[in-house]
Amino acid sequence: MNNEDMLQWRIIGDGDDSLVYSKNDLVDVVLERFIVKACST
Amino acid sequence: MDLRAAYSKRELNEQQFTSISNNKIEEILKEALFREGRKEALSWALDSFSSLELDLDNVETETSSSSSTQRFAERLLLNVPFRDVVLTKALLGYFCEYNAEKVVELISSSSSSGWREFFLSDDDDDERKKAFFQSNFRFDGEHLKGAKAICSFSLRRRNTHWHHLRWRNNKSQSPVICATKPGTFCELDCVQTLRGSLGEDDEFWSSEEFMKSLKRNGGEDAKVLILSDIEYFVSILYGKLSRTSSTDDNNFSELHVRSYLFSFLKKQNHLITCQKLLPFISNETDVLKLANNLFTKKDECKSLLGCVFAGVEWQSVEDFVLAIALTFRARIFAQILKDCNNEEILKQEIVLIDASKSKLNIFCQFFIARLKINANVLDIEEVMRKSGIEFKRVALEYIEDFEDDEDSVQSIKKSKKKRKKRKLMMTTTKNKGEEHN
Repeated sequence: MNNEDMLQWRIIGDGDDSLVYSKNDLVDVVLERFIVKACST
Repeated sequence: MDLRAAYSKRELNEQQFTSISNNKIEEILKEALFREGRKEALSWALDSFSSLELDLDNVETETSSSSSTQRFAERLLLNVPFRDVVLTKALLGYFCEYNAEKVVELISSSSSSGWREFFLSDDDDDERKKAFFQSNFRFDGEHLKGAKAICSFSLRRRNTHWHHLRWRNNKSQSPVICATKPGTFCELDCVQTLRGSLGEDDEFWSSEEFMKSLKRNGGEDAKVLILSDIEYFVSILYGKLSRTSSTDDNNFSELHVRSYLFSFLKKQNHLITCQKLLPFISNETDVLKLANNLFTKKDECKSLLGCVFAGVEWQSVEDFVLAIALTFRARIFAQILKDCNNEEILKQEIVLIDASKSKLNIFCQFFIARLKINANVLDIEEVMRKSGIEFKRVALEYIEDFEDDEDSVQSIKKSKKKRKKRKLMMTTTKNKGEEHN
């Protein structure tokens, strides 16, 4: 297990601060957010 | 958002970033996508329709009153034409399987009953006749199902139809005897009666008595009959839809069948509908038509689903499938690419990709960002920092202290499980120790 596997992230100001993301989940969430924003502008 | 973030110094030194056209990037990705097989890639696209039920409400629709399943049913029936024989038959089979009582209604409303042909096969040992007619004569006179229908119909129409009945050993019985001792009907040669003029008479198959026998037991008996030979009923309904049926009934027309199918699809579980029908779409362009017509141009995208389906007209099946792979299946597609040689894509400078031309370019841009993050060429934390997304790192040990955190992601559950397992192992060890003592 490398160091990144030991880490998780919370996105602050997201409404639900209790959500904790693994790296893969975080990438999904962040990139999806970017895509939606890019498509709607 | 800022995707220029953080190429590590090591990577900057080692990598020589190049720039190729958007078309070339799409070409590379499509090649990788379809390498494993076109069918497999298409199945991703079909699966994406299944997620509509969950996400459609996040898309601001022009007609907000219509539910997601209604919209899908409407678009499916409008855009996937009935000329697709395989799909149409799959739809009719689905209709027969899940809505047998309506099939009974439709078949029974025909002036020339489909029931006659169903029961009058050449096989004397036909189990359907036995199960519905022959096996239901009772010595105590309490006849059931088809047997009851024959008895009641013959007695009521005794003046015109009694002579149609065929008796065993040519030992005819009179209506008076049969009315006073209903058990006498057990002497009836059911098979010969049905194969004879009674069976040939449409009046019997459309009679109140026969209809009653079908509706008995809440229509369950009729359902069993339909399920026993769905193919037969599908062929009758298909004949109506394709207008090859010779009969012309006001109550059983192509329009009637279409309207029944529409009402049926609207009420069905969307996921089951997708599973039952979408794999049977034989023409790829029909998949494209469906994708392009699910939403109107006025619909807005507030979710990934909206981005892929709303306000866009995919020019080819390949483009649509790639869009699905780059969005809904991005994680698994990235994994597939990792196993292939994806160095050429990793060398692309993200900011040089022109994402202004099409949605597909946008999806490509962010997909390459994903590949770079996975390959540690790009740092997700720095991307978030530069894009103004505030975040907090959480160490795994810290998370383990949240016993009641219901919303935690799977990894937390896993860590809890591991901890519980550890506790269990400790308890077991302790117990074993006690046993030894």
